[in-house]
Amino acid sequence: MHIPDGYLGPLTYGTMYAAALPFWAAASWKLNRTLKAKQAPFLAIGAAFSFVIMMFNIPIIGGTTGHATGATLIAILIGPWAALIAVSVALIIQAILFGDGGITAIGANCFNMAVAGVFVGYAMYRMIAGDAAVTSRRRWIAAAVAAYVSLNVSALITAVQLGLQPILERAPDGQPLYSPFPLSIAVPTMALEHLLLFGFVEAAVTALVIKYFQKNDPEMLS
Amino acid sequence: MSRTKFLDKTLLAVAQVAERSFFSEEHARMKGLLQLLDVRIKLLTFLFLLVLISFLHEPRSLWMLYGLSLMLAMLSRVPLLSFVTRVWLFVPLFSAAVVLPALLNIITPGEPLWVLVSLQRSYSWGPYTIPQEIAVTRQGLWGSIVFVSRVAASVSFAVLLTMTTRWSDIFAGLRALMVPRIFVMTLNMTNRYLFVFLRLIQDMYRARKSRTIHALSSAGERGWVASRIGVIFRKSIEMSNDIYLAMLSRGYHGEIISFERFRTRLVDHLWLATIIAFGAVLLAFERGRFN
Repeated sequence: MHIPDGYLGPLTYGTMYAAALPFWAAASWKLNRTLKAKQAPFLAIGAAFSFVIMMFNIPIIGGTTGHATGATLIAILIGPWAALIAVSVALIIQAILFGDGGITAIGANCFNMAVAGVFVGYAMYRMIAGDAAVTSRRRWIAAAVAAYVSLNVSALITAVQLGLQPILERAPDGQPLYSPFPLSIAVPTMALEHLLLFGFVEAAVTALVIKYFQKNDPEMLS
Repeated sequence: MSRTKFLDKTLLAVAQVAERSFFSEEHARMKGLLQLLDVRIKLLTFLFLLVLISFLHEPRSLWMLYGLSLMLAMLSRVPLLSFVTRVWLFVPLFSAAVVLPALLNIITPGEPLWVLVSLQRSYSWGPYTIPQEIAVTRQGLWGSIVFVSRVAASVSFAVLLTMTTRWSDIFAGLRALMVPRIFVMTLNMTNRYLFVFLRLIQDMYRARKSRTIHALSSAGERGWVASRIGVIFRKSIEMSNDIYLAMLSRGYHGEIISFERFRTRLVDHLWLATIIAFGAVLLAFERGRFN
């Protein structure tokens, strides 16, 4: 889901930087008020945790493996604003140091995964979990549904950004200059693989980690 | 053994991160052109080059920039073969494979160059059309060449930046791009503690692998991975508290004081002027052709 450099035109990646900026500013403001001096190590460790979640491969059917992005899980564990910064920092490090995702696409990738992914996941979780007890079954089911929906929303927004390229950003003679696939190809392709496979991986990892905490350390969820 | 493949894949992913870091530190210490530059100027110019690449429309201009990245790699004593391999192996090669269907008139309509298949008639379902003659189009070919060239040139400069700059310097240099101090500090600390976590994961997975004589059921293995993520998070919180206390004992009171001292020299000014002039000429030449 990490969009590399060269896939989005300047109009799109510029807009996405502008769209992500108010969320980064709001998160910094919010955390400055709530976390005080403790925020620096807390955010850094949260970001490192966000980075390493993607390294945990889990076995899926038929010997294949997959990994989760962890946006909803981190939002449940450290709250949505801290999660926004943590996932963003992890994405920035991946883009600058590891070439996972483009530098020009940092705004778009952060908006898709750190803003949309985190807030959709967190809102769904709060809505479904309601006032249920920390150790209740409803909590992990809420986490699974939230993670599934959140990942699919992120994938859909990514697909729309890619699918808009042949319409928004093309040469004067109409030839595509960036990602060449229109919405009618980009959206179903991304949606299918996330609806049928990656969404379930995300849901499984999120629910299993929540169940682990319910059993071993329920305080982490309160 | 395929049931424990996830253990090997995770160990491999951890090893790759460590290898990249080691590889970059090694080249960043060499005495070459890019290593000479002030990191702030270097970041600004590389960002300028990446934005410039995104504005260019002609394959020739993109190839010229790709050529520039190769020349800079040589002048910076980066081994050309490993540089080219690292650039092409992942994103551009993947992009070239992904873009193949866009060569055809099914995706990119236009003037046919080579007819691959002739059907009895054309087919249409909603927004999808399969034309009677499936062909590679001039527009599809041109668009794909521009796309892959742009991706390759962008990745080339991004890789060159990380290979010739110490990672801690990159974060310090971000201050020059007006990135708030709290972000820069978080990035720096994340980078540092990332390796502590990687070591932890490696130890957990190696220990597990060395004890494995028979794989558990898939559900059992998934439960084990989830418990490891849980353990890492618990350790994260403990570590965060320990680090905070360690920072307090060293005089931290919420204000971040930075000790980086940067100094620009003649070579930095010459480099900045050359890159901006080069970019402006390239852009003016292209836009002149299009208008």
